[in-house]
Amino acid sequence: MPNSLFHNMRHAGLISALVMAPCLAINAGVVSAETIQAQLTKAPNVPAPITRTQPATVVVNLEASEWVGPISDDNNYEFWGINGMVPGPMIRVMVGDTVEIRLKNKSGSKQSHNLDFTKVSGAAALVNAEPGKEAQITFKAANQGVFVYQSSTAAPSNIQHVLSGMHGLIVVEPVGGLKPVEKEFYVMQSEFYMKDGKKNDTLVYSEQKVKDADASYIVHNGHMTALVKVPLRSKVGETTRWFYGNAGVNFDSSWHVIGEMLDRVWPAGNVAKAPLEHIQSTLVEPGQATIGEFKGEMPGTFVSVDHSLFRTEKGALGLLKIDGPTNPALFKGL
Amino acid sequence: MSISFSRYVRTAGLVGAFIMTPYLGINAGVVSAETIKAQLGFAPNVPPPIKRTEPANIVVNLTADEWTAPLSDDNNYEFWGFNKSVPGPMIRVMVGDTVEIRMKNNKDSKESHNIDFHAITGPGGGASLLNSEPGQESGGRFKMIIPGIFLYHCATASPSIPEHVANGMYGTIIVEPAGGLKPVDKEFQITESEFYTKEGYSKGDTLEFSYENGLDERPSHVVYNGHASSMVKTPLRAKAGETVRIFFTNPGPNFVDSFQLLEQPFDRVYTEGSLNAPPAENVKVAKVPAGGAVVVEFKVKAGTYTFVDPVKDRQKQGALGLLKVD
Repeated sequence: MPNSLFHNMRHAGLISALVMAPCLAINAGVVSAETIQAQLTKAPNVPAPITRTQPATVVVNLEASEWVGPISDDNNYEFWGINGMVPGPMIRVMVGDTVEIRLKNKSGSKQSHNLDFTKVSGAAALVNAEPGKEAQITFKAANQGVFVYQSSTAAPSNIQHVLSGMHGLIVVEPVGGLKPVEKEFYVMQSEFYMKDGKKNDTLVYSEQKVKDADASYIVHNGHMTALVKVPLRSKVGETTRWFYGNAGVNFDSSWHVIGEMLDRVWPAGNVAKAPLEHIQSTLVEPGQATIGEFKGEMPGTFVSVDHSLFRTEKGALGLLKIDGPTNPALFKGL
Repeated sequence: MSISFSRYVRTAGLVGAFIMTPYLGINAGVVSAETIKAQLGFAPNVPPPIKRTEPANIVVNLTADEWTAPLSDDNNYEFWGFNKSVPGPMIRVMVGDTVEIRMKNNKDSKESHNIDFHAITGPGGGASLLNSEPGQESGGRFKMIIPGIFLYHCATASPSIPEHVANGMYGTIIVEPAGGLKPVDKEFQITESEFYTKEGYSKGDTLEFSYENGLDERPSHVVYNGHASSMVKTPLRAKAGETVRIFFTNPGPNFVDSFQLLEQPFDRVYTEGSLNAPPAENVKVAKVPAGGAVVVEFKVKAGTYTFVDPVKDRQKQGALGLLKVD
């Protein structure tokens, strides 16, 4: 018991910036878990790894809103999303944590919005907020891995909510955390279906195109050139870990990094199982996410793609720039 | 040194037929690796298994071409490909080998062509080093550090990367793990790919590529080994009791493939082509990502087996093949 208390305090110190209430209430001999404010990040950034070894109560503040923003250099779209970003912020917790989602729906929203965390909790975990209202749900992070959270609001249709941007990733680390690596990235593939329009138009959602699986854009991180204009960066010798999600709804994504091999892949993000090794392309089904890692061996620009190659013409790609010394024994022109 | 030298000579003997230069230059006490010209396998055949135990330098000669040939019994197509074959020739090397690729582009080509090898670690999978204008040649030297079965394909941006792949510019390279793959009785390669052609043509016409249909992911043909009935007209052959291994490659350009043997499940499937993990057993359908590959193995009984991609209309579009077992 004193040991566990000491542990708790030490970690509370380490993450002091995030601690909401270092709630050490000793109640009937039980030390309560500390309560932490979740660090949320905008893709491609990833929240800091978990260094705790004891479960905590993690408070996650989310706000659903609807706004018009660029989907490409040519067109706007009316996004529905979380915390003003598509994909929604990444959430990172530990298995056994109690997760408290506080979902606000911005006043002025036309739709009610909900979020579904059932895959994390292993039991129904849905929180719904009407425009201008706030709702809350508390569940245990029972399953470890990386999961897509998304809206499943029935009006006008759950598919339209997902395809307007209401989706993101939540990582549930095993106890003791994932093995540390030098760099971590958050990349999510999202499909958008719009009625045809002219340059500079704000394009309108098309249900017919969804049914026809005729995507207007298939993008990585919410904009056609998000990861082209601002590439990811790492150094030779560094291992990069990618949390790669596929919001769907129509297409399997064949994730591949041109010029690199995925040294390790946890299919469907299942970290309880041993990873596959030496993978050129890995299948990520709609509504699923995966974890892939590789060590950068050579400097240069590496392109992360959905290897269904015509989709790269619709935005399904991003760049990783690796800096460092070249290795002529590995790679050299004649 | 003496043991390694004697092993070297023995290995050199075994692969004597393929040796270009039995390069025994002893330099500052180091025995150089031998240099071997790669033996290429044309689908459905594969190059013989590696018997060497020491890494070598492998020279691979590839030529990019553009030519018109049958895509089905009804129509021709202007293919772009490697060594006048779709899929391009299969290359087989061992982890630790250094592969020297020489990439020629035929002088009559209209396009420039390059190669992105998924087995190569470095920018573009070698594409910028292996880019050749019509009539030119390029080359690079690459160390194979990761075992597996990998796609190679053209990735030239003009007119578009997917167009080069959609026209047939792909093939397979096997990088055997140290000690090689377990021997089996028969090995084959099958590549499933889609072709996107314009509508409005009739029987006997040479079909034309449609970028629109590629973007819409609406192929006119989904074929095994570059022709809509290649494996029906010329079935694979094996004998009862043999274990068959198939290297299955999916260059797309769009579809995730499903590979199924209608008569029985696969005994072993190396998921996503990973050779290090224990294979999945008793698998009905192997799902293969675009830009991916898989290895399946199964023991056969007498009779005729049917391979298909069971998804939607793909069998009707050509994704159907036969294996006859005597």
